[in-house]
Amino acid sequence: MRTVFQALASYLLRRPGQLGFAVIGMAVGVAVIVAVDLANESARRAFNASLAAVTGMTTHQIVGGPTGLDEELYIDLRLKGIRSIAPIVEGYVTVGGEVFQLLGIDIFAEGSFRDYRATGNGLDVGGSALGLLIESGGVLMVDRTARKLKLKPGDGFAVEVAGHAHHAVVVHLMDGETTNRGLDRVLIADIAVAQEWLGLVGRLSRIDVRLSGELQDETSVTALAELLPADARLVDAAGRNRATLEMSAGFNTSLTAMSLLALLVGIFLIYNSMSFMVLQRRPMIGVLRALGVTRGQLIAALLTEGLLVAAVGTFLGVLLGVLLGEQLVVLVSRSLNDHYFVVRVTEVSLSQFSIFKGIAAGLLATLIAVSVPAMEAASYAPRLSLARSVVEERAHSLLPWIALTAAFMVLSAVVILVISKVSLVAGFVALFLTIVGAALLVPLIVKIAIPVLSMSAGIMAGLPGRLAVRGISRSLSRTGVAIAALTIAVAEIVGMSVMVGSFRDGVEDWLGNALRSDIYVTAPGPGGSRVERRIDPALVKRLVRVQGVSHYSASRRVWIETVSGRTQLQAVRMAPESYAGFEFLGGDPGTIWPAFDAGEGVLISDPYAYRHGLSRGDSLTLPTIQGERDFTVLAIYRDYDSGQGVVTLSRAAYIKHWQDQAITSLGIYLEPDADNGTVIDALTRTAAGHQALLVSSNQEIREWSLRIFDRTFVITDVLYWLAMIVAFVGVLGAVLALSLERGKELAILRALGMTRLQVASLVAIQCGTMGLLAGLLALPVGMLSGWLLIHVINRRAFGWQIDMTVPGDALVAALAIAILTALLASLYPAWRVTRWAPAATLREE
Amino acid sequence: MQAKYWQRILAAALASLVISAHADPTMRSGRLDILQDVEEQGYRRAETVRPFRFPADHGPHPGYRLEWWYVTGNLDGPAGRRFGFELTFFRLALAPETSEAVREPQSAWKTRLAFAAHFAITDVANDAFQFAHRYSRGDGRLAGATGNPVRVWLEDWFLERSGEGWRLHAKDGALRLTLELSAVKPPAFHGERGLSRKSAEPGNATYYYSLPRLESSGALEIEGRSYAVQGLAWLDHEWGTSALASDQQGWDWYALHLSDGSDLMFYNLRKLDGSRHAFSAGTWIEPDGETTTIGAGDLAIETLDYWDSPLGGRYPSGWRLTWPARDLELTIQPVVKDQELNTRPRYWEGAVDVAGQRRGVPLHGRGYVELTGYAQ
Repeated sequence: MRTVFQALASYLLRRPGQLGFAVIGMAVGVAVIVAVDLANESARRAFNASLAAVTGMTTHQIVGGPTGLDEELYIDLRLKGIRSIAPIVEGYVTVGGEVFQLLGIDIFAEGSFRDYRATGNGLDVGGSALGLLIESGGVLMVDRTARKLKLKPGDGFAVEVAGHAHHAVVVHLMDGETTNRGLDRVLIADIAVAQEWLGLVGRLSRIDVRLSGELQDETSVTALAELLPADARLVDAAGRNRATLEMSAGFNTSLTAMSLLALLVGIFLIYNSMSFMVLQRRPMIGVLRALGVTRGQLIAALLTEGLLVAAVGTFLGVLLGVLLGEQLVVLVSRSLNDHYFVVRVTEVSLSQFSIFKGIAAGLLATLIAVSVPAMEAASYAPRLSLARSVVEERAHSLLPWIALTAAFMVLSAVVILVISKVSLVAGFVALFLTIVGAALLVPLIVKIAIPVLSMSAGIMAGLPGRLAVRGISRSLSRTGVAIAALTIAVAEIVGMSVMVGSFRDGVEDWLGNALRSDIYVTAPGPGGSRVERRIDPALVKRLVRVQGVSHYSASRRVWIETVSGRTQLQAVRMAPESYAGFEFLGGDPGTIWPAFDAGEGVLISDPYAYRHGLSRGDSLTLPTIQGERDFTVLAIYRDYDSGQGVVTLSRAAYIKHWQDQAITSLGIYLEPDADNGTVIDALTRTAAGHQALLVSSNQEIREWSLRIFDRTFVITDVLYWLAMIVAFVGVLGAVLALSLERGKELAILRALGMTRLQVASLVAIQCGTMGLLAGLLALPVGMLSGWLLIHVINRRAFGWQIDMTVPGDALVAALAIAILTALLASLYPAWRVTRWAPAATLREE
Repeated sequence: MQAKYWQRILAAALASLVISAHADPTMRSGRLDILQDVEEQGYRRAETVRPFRFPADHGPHPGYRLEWWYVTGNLDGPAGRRFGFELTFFRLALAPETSEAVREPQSAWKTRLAFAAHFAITDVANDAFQFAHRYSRGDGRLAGATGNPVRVWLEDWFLERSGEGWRLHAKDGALRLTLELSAVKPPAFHGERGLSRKSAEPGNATYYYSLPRLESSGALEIEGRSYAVQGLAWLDHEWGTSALASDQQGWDWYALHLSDGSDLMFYNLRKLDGSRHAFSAGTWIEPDGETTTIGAGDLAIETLDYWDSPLGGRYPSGWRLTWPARDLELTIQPVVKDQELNTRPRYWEGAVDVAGQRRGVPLHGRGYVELTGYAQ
C-alpha cells in the first residue's frame, strides 16, 4: 500500500503544477461556498439579532392601520388595569447619513420587555434612563454606535426625519458588546420625543404585550383581544416577526438563491479539479495494476489521496472563504439596506454551519469526483489500462449510456419543475440537473462535431490543424471533461447575462412607462413605505402652486398589517397621465379604471398576485379603520418596485378606509412651456426652511433606480467571475494533462520534422477548438439556464415576471471568452511543448 | 416621613425599572441615591408658613419636587376578620418645569413628572402580608394629580374626593380594595401651622398636614373572597423640595388612633448612631381636632422586641411609648411581624395594636407604624 501511495505521490510531486491546480480549484470551490454562506448567515444573524433585541420579551403585539394605533387605546387599557403592555412608537431616522431605527418607549412600561443594560455600574443606569424624560431630545444608544458617530454622553447631534432636523442629546450609552448586540442601528428615545420627531403625535406604532412569565395576569389573549376596537388587532409577536422575516422573504430567498448558486459553482469546480487529477494518471494506474496492486488497494489509495488533497484544499478554501466573506458581507448588507431593512452587518459571524457546509461540499464532491474515475480505472484488466486506446474506446462506447443518463436528468428536471410549483430549492435542483445533463451530453456532441471541425481545420491550418482537432476526439475521455467544464462556466455567464439583461431591460421599460411625471417631490428617508415619510400638508399646497406646475399626482405609501403578514399599500391621486403608467396583465382598462376611480376595488402588482395566489376578480382582505374589509382585485399590473408586491388603491378610498391624509410623494406635471430645471429650483426654494425634500427629475429617478438595480447585481457579477476562474483552472489542467500525456506523440511529430512553432500551434489550435466547441455549446445551455433563472428561479425568489430578451453582444462575448480562456490556458502547455527535446522525450517514454 | 427617603425609594425604584431582570449586585448596596445630588435649583421650597385652602390644597403642588398622599388604616371584616391597608401615591418631579419652546403639535406623553404608588394589605387572621408597587410617567392620563376635582391616580389605582368624603381604589391580581372615607376631624397641621421643618436650614422643610381620623367602609377582595370592611384610616399629605441634612439613618413614624378619640403622630428621626435627631417631632390631636405639637424630647420610646427580615436587616418590633408630661403610656405591638415592603430599598409599614393608660384611665387603639433605614 505504501508503495502505491509513493508511486501516486511521486507522480504528482513531479508535476507540482497539476497538484497545485487541484488544490487551488478545490480551495476556490470551497471558498465560494463558504464566503457566500458566511455573508448570508451574517446578514441573517444581524437581522435576527436586531429583531430580537427590539422585540425583547414581547409575546404579542397590538397592531393597527398604516399610521398605527390611537394612543388612547393604550391609556384606556392601562386604566382598565391591564399592565403587561408597553407602547412603542418607531420609525427610521438618519444621523450623519446613516440610517437608524428610532424606538420610542415609555421607560416606566418597559419593565421586563427589553433589556437595555447600560455600560458602567448599575448606579448610572436608572438615572440615565430617566434622562430620557428629563433631557429634551434625549436618546440612548449602544457604546459601539456612539464610538462610530464620535459621540459621548451629553453630546448633542442632529437627527433627520423626512427632511426635518431635530436636536438630540446622548443621555447615556448602553452596553453593546455583551448584551444589546442587535441594537447597533437603534436609537432609543422617550415616546414623546419619538412621536414628535416622527410626526406621529397621538399615535402608537404598536403596543407590545407580554402574556407569560412573571407578568402574567388574568388577561388572557382572548380577553385582551375582545377589548380592542375594530382597527386594532392582537397578533402573536413571534408570528409577526416571522412575517417580517418573510416580508423580507425576498431578502431571504435572494440570499438562499445566491448561496445555492455558489454551491452549484463550487461543486463543479471541486469535481473538475479532483477528477482531472485521477484521469491524468490513468496510465500509471495501469502500471500499478500490472505490478499486482489490487483494485481495492488502488481505489483506497486514490480516495485517500484525493481526500488528503481535499483536506488541504478545503482548509485553504475555508480561510479564503472567510476573507472573501468579509468583502461579500459589505455587498450583501448594502443590497439589503437598499431594499428591505436597516441592518448593520458589523461583522462576519463565523458560523460553524457555513464552514461545515463548505467542508462537506468539498469532501463529498471529492469523493464522487475521485471514486468514479478511480473505479473505472481500477476496473481495467492490468495490461489493458496501459493502452490509451482502450481507455478511449471505452469512453466512446460509453457515450450512448452517458447520453441516456443526460436525457434522464433533463427529464427529471422537467418533472421536478412541473411538480414543485413554488419551491426555490426545487428550482435550483432542476437548474443543476439541466446543467449537469447538458454537460454530460458534451462528449457525444464533440464526437459528432469533430469530423466536421477537423475538415474545416484541415482546410484552414493544414495537417497540424487536422491533427489537433482529431486529437480532441481521440482523447475524448479527457477533452470531453475539459470542454464540459468550460461549457458550464460559460453557460453560467450566458445564463446570468440573459437573466440580468432581461431583467434590466424589463425594469428600464417599466420605469419608462411607470414614471410619467416630469418632477418628483418626496420626503426623504429610508424605507419606501415608512409612515413617517410625509410631505408637510401646508407645504403640499404651496408646492403645487409653484409657477410652471400644471397639475400633479400624489401618492401615499405605507405598510399595513394583514393576516398574512405586512402588505405594502399605495394610495394614488391620479393625474390624467398616471393611468397609462400602469400596464395591466389582462383585463380591459376601459372598465378597470372607472371602477378603480370609484373606489370599487384595488389593483395589485404582479409579485403580489403571485405570492398570494390572486387573480383578477378575486378579493383580498385588508384591515381598515372600520375593521376587516374585502377588496376586489380589479387588475394585476406589472411592477418591479417591490418583490413583495404592492396593493394600489385610489387616494379617496384610502382616506375613507384609513383616515390618513398624508402624502409621501408628489408627481409634478409641467406647463408645456415650463423649464424642468427652473421649476425644480422653484420647488426646492419653496420647501427650503420648512422641510428638506427630495426634488428629482424623471431622468434622475430613472437613473437612480437603475443604479440600485445594478448595485444589487454586483454580487452576481462577482460570482460569475469566480465561476470563470474555475473554468480557466479546469481547462488549463485538462490541456496540461493532454499535452503531457501526448508528449510522446508530439515528440514523434517533432522528430518527423515539425517545427516548434507548428507543434505549439497544434496545441493552441487544439485548445482554441475546444474553447470554440465549449463556447458554441454554452450558448444553448446558457440560454436554457437563463430561461430557468428568469422563469423559475427569479419568479420563485422574487415573484417577478420578466420577458426574456437575448442580448446578442453578451452571446458573442461569451463565445469570445470561451475561446480566449482556452487559448490562454494553452499558452503554458504550448510553451512547454516547444521546450521538449524530441529525443529525450521519446527516450523517457 | 421624610422627603429625602422617599426620593431615594422612588429613584431606586425607577432605576430598577430599567434593569429589573438583571440587577447588578451593586444595585443592592443602597448607594442608589441617584437624586441626592440633583440640582435643587429651579424648584419651589417650603420656606414660610402659608395658608392652606381646601379642597385645593388636597390637590397637587406643582413646582415642588416631591409630594405624596398616604393612606393607612385598620379594617374589620365579618366574623372577626381583621385587615390593615396602605395605599400611597407619590408625585416626583424629575426636573423643574422649564419654559422651553413648545413644539407643535406636542406629544401628550411629554412630562417630567413620575408617579409611584404602593399598595399593601395585612391579613391578620392568616398572619399574611401582600404588597404591590407601580410606577408611571405623570402625563395626566396614566397617572396624575388634580386639585379640582381632587384626585390622584396611577392607572386604575386612585384616591379622590367624593362629595364631602373620599374614595380610594386599588387592585393587584386577586387583591382589590375599594373604600369610602369620611373625615371625622378637620385637617391637622404639623410643625408650625403645617410647615414641618426638618433641619435648621430654611427651606429644608415640607408642608405637612393629616386627616387623622377617617371612618372607612367598603369592600376588600382577597384570595378569591370578598369582605365588607370598615374601620379607621389616616391620610397624610406632604410636599416639599428638600429636607434634612445627610446625618440621618432613617425614621420611625407612628400614627395611632386611641380609644378616647384622640390621635397621636410622631416621627422619630434616627441619627447615624441611632440617637434621636433634634428635629424629630409629632402632633397630638384631641377628639375635637385641637392639636398640640410634640417636641423631640417630649416622648420616650423603648423598643420591646425585634424582627429579623428574611431578606436581611433587623427591625424593631414592639415599643413602649411614654409621654411623662401627659402621663401617657402606650405599648405598641405589630399585628403581623412581617409587614415589610420589598421595594428598593425596603421598608416596614404595618398595622399595630395599642394598649396603655392616660392619667390612670386605660386606653387602647390601633394604628400604623413606618420603619425606614433598617434594611438596604
